[in-house]
Amino acid sequence: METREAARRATEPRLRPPRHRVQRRAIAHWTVRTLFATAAAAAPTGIAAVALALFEVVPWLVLALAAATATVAAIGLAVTAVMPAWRYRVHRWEVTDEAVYTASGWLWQEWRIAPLSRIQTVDTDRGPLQRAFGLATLTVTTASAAGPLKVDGLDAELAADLAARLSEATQAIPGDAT
Amino acid sequence: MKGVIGMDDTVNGALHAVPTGAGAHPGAGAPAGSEWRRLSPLTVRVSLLAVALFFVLPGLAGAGVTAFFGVFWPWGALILSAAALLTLSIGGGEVFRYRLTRYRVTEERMEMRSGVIARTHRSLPRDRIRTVDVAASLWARPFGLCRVTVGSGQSGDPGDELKLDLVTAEEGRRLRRELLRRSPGAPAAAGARPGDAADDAGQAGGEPVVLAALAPRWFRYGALSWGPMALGYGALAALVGIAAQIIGDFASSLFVPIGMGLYDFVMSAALVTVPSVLLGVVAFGTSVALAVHIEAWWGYRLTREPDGTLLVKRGLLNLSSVSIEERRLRGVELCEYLPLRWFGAASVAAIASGLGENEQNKGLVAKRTLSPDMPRAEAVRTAGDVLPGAGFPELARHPRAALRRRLFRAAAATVLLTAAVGAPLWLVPAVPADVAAGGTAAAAAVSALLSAPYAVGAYRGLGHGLDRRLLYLRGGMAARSTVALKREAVIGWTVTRSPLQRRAGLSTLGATVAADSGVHKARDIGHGQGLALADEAVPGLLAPFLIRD
Repeated sequence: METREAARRATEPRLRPPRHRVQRRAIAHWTVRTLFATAAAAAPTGIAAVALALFEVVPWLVLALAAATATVAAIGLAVTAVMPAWRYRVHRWEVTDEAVYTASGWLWQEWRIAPLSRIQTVDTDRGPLQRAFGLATLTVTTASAAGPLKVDGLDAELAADLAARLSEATQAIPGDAT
Repeated sequence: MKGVIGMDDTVNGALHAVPTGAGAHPGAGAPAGSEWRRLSPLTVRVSLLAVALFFVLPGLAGAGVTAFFGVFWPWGALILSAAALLTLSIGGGEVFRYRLTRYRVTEERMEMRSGVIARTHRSLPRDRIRTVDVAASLWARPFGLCRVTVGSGQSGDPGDELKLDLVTAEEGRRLRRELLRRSPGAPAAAGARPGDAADDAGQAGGEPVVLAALAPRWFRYGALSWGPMALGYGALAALVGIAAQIIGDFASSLFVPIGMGLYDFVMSAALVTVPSVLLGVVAFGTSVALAVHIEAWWGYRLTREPDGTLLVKRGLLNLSSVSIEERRLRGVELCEYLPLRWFGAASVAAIASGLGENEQNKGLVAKRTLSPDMPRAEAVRTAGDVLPGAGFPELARHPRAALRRRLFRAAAATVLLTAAVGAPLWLVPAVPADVAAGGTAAAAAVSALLSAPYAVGAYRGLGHGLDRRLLYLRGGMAARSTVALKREAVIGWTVTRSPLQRRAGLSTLGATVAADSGVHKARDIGHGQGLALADEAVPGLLAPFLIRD
């Protein structure tokens, strides 16, 4: 049973990862972003704990709030330690003459393929933090309601170039891409 | 209505807000039938009738009651003047709305000007019009009027449509014919593929073809259909709630003795009363559900019109007719929901773009529904007529690992439920140990007996298949549905894998489709199996990214 399954699996197709990695700087960006998110998540309980401790009221509540803050912070820091490097290993992209192919995620991973002929809009987004790292997100929208393809962590100039190239390529194809 | 008064509605470029001052579109020309039209003048009367029923009659009744009790001044007068004020303001508003609303259909676009305070001019390019729905509500029917909703279905935005509220039934039919006819000047069916054009050519001209028509014996499924059933038992729950409140208010003070007597009587005759109460509940719920179902589906007919649209007509009191352009049809869905699946029933729905499925007030029957619940064989035949070639063959199973995942989830659910029931029993000191043990064991047994068959059913529900034109994906346990997608309508693939799926060699394959549903998933398909299926279904798209060794 096990061997047959193994034999079958060997002949089955596998997805090869997209050809290009995102920028290495993206690791730093994701690290900072996760730290910010952790701080934001831990702040309310933390502040409440400190405030209650200052007024020396309900000591058990202070303890509970401190524990909650510590838990949130610990989870956030653990994610910060693991996620960026892992994400960098997974996040990849590729644009061929026919299709856009992206891989993203870390624990939950997603591979997406959309043919150029079905692309409707191509955008780049740059948040303030991304700008600080010179990065951008490329967003490729298709006619489907399934949501756009995104490449997070591209070099800003490369993203703009890609967006221009993709828009050009998709404009060359007639129809409303549905 | 969405949006703030004073803002033009501009949605994804589909509806261009044009400054009100701008007149006719340059180049639109003015061929016959393109002049500005008004809504039906009877619109105002329909609104006044509704206002009279809802405000004036209750107002008069209220005034009468106050007069009877001798407090007409000031209370009755107040009620009357409030009713009069409401009637006047709503009636006046309606007169203004009627006077200020204009619409026209030109060769290129449909335009509508409306708005009492803030004027809006909305314009919908005709080649973007996907659906024209005609609904005649109970109010409008005596006047021979209907509401026409013209939608372009861009991103399913509810604001992305023009509503003509109300026009004559004749005008409704004319608009439907006119707007869905492929205008000769328009860029020939933008987005249509050669295959579709060939399909259309075969149906041009001629009479409508009836694909399915109501058989009264299908109504027996109504009592167990989800929507009507929910309404039926919901109505019962509301009634019981009101009754309980009234009884609660009185019983606490006045009727305690009677209540106690009743309680004793019920307890002494539990064998008789409990089943009869249950029977009453079921009978009431069933009859409401049946009535709702019959109201929705009376006179149901699904036809293929000569202009290349599918037309669903139905309704006993509120008539509804929904048309779906076949050119926009991406596939069909066969819905086999419990408990009706146990009785061999199924229904058919369309997978198409521009049906506005994301709309919030979907009503009892979603726009994409093509048929009521009917015997499965009939449903399969209807689906095959709607989408030629859809035969719903035997589908391939997913790997056993998918079953193991579902059984594992069932076990987890059992443990959680048992803990949820057992923990309080053990923690409350008053509960004797043997009762706690028995309760825990019972909870474990019941949840295991429910969740294990559910897991097996969910696994057996999974399936996928491929034939010459269509890709089939099946899933779901309580809401089992099989979708048949046109292979050329698949515009991309997504493969998602959780950590556990990666360990088990499974993945969730999603076929993206340019329809409101967006993506149709094959959950827990074998990773290689799914990739092979995707590669075969749409040749060439996935191949460059696959490794075969």
